Amino acid sequence: MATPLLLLALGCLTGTTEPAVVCDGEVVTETFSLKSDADGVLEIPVTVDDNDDAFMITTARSAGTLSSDVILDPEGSVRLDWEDWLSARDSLTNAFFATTEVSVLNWPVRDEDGPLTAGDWTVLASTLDDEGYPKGRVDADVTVVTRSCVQGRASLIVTIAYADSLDEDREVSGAVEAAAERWIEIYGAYGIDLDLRFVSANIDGSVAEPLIGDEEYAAIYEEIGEGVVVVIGEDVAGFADLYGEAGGIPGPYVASSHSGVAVSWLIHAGTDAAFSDDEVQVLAETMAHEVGHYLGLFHPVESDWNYWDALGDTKRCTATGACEAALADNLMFPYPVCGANSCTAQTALSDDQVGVLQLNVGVR
Amino acid sequence: MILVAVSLALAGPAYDLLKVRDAVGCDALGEAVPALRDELLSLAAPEVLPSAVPMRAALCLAQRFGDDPSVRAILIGWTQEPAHVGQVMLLLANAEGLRDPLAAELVAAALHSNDQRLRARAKRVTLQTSVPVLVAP
Repeated sequence: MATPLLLLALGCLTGTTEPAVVCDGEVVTETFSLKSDADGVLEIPVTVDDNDDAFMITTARSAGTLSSDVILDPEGSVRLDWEDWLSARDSLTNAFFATTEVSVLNWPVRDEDGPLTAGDWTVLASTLDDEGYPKGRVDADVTVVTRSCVQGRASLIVTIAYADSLDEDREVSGAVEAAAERWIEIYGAYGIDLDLRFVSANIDGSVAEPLIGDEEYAAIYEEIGEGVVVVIGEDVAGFADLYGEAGGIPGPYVASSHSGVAVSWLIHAGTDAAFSDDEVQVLAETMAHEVGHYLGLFHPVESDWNYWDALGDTKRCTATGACEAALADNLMFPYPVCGANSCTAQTALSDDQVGVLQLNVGVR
Repeated sequence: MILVAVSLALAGPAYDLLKVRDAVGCDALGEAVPALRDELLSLAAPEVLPSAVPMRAALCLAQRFGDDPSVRAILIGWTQEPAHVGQVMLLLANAEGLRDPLAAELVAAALHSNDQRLRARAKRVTLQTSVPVLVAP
């Protein structure tokens, strides 16, 4: 990205008055209501200014499902079409899949999908019935966030919310704080500074699954109002076997039943419910991993070895041995890789993965 | 001996299913692993990494093999062992889903544990769930 100083110099040479590009990471948020047409299509306008390099559309309805399907640029050219990804084994975004009452689409997803051009963009979304067929004349709430380009290091606001007074349990809060320090190092190595805050949430220690959705997340987000919320509970949804779960890929920056990441402290502390240094490390990696999902990252390969992310520089492997050899140290690998005495540190991200994180409008 | 057991367990199919961040459910595990009980007993050892594996193994043991008196004795014995406090906390959180008499016996034993956290959670189970409270003779 050219510096403002360079653009000014070019302006002098050519005699033009190009507007200065200011990369300050500022966001503009616009919220409005729309009704889908008879075919269930929502036509969402997005105004992109010269400085903007990313936008996020969050579409929500009170019941039923939504999907984000097509992106048209100011020339009317199709920049993204869900049908191109329908049978793909590569995952780009979950915005295509109408599984909940909220659909979140961040664009561009990857560096190769950009850059944005200034002008009037259009996103086409669909309102659907219970069987996945279009349902017309449905009201939806739309939030459009556009982000000015970011120069240099970027920042992400993260609020860690302790459920059930866990902040008063020094075993838990001490481990979470130590893990947060390591998470700061993990993201910091890739140019993202975490702005961490800690709060207490008056909810049960068995926290709900944000992917399924729960009003608890909407209520907590309503209070906090920005960034990513990570809820620390004793377990997630009573299954007691989940390390953690993100509310979406990517997740929303408006209050909704999916606006959060859940992390279980107990599953990390292990059989003795006391954190060893290695267990703090895995806790740090889980928080970084789940928030990585929230910012748009998929696993580089799923653990059935048949589905991959849509990035060009994460190795496409097809078997356990090959995948562990190539990707065991990757932050987004689907599981911790451990031997008899220790686990491999999972802190690595590829350039394309870092690109996805940095294009998310929450990173600025 | 423990190291050998862990090493054998790590090579088994149950370990591969339990280690992933989004683990498969206990029912699916039963379909995929023939000698599940013995493998779970090995994987429930505190030495097994990552920590989620022995935790999940403990829950699956209780859910699938809670009727087995030898398994039940092991699980109840954990209420008095600091190395297994986390696993008992997990089982208490899922007490309503466990079969009788395991749930009631586990809660009764946890109420008399030396660990304050276990006693508190067991008390909460008696107050907030339908797990029957065993009265001491």
